Amino acid sequence: MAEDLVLDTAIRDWVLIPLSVVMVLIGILRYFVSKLMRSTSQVPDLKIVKEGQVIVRARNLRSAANFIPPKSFRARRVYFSNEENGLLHVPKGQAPNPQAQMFSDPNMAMDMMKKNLSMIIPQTLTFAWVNFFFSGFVAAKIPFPLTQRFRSMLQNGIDLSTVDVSYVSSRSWYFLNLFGLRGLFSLILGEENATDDTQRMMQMSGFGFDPTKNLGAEKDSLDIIQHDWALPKFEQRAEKVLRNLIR
Amino acid sequence: MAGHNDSSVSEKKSSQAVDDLPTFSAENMQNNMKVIYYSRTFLSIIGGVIAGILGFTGFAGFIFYFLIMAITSVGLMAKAKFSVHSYFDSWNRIILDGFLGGLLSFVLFWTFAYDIVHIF
Amino acid sequence: MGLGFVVGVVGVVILSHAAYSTIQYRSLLKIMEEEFSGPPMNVVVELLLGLVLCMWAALTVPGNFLSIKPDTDENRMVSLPGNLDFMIFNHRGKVFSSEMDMKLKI
Repeated sequence: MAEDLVLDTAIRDWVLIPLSVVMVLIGILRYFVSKLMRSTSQVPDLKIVKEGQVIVRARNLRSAANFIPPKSFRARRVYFSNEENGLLHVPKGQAPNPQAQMFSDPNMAMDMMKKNLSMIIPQTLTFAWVNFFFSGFVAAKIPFPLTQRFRSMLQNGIDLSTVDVSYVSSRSWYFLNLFGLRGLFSLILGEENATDDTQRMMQMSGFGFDPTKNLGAEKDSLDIIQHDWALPKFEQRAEKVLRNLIR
Repeated sequence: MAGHNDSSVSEKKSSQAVDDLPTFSAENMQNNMKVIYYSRTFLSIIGGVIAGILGFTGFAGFIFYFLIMAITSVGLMAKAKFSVHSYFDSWNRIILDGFLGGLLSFVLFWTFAYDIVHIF
Repeated sequence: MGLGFVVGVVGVVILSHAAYSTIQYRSLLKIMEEEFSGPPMNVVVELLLGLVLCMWAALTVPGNFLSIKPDTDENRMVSLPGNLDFMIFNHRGKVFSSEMDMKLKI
């Protein structure tokens, strides 16, 4: 297997380049379609906004804790995190179940479905298209050696056990593109865009994020903070700074 | 005397604690991180194309990637006018963050350019 | 932004030209039946030029670093209106709120 395969340049011109270009274009198209389909008039839920603001306030308290006297700090901490009616305290069993929430709000289910559709449909179509036109080509070669284990991953669609593992079939080149183009998309589409597949899959398995978890985490970090009032020492600090300036 | 000493020691401690207070604006920091992310992603793509055209194979290509990333780090530091602490909270942010994030893009474009130029 | 972007595009164009000339060079070698040892000199020069241009673009286009220090000029911590903690709604002005609405409507 030491000798190189000689590949026709037509494969490059009619398989490798079109496949990559189409992958990029489909990624862009998908981004805009999902942007269009996202429901525009989305009224944020009052409760969620409230919780978000509470978290922001608690975070501010945490970061600026040392600028207020111990008594005030303790008062604020109790206000946020006591076990009876603190703002950050979520009683057990009252946590909203996202599943139930989804069934009560058809809009949410609709949204979820739209998102999934805009992800799955183009993917299936592209895969079918690639399978139909480009199956069975050795389209590319990875410029570094790999072990035999990668054969099933990289030579999906061609059954030649004598070909070197670093040769890539066209179908596997499609998969490589699918995962590797994220960097390019984040460059041309700006921001964390909707094509971030892996992240969305994570979200799907977790089924939405749980705001109560955020509250709990914030409460814990507020509980363990060590308060140390900074102001009584500030005169000395100012003195030091000024001395340094004079020197 | 001893008491005075004690107080000065504790003073020093607390002044250090005051110095450690995180007083930086998180939004600007995030903006800076995003700038770094864009720079690194773009340069890993460009580096991949160049490595492919030059025909690097195997280990040389990865060394080239790390070289590019090191140059990028130096360039970013020059962009921050070498006063890293007025833009980031630690050196690691500018030197190490996102070092491996562009590797997948690099490998893809390296393969792409290498295939187009060399194997046909 | 504009200038850096143009420089980046020029760099990419130079890189693609380098790729094209390397392809030509390789096909020439194939005809002459010689071994490929390395890209020709002008391609290397082009690649270096493209790398420098793209590096410059990558460092300038994404925007400037903003200072995270609270004591710089462009970064005052005392931007009170932007701070939600200092918004007060429960004050005597709420008696006039209807008038405010009217004013806004006009």
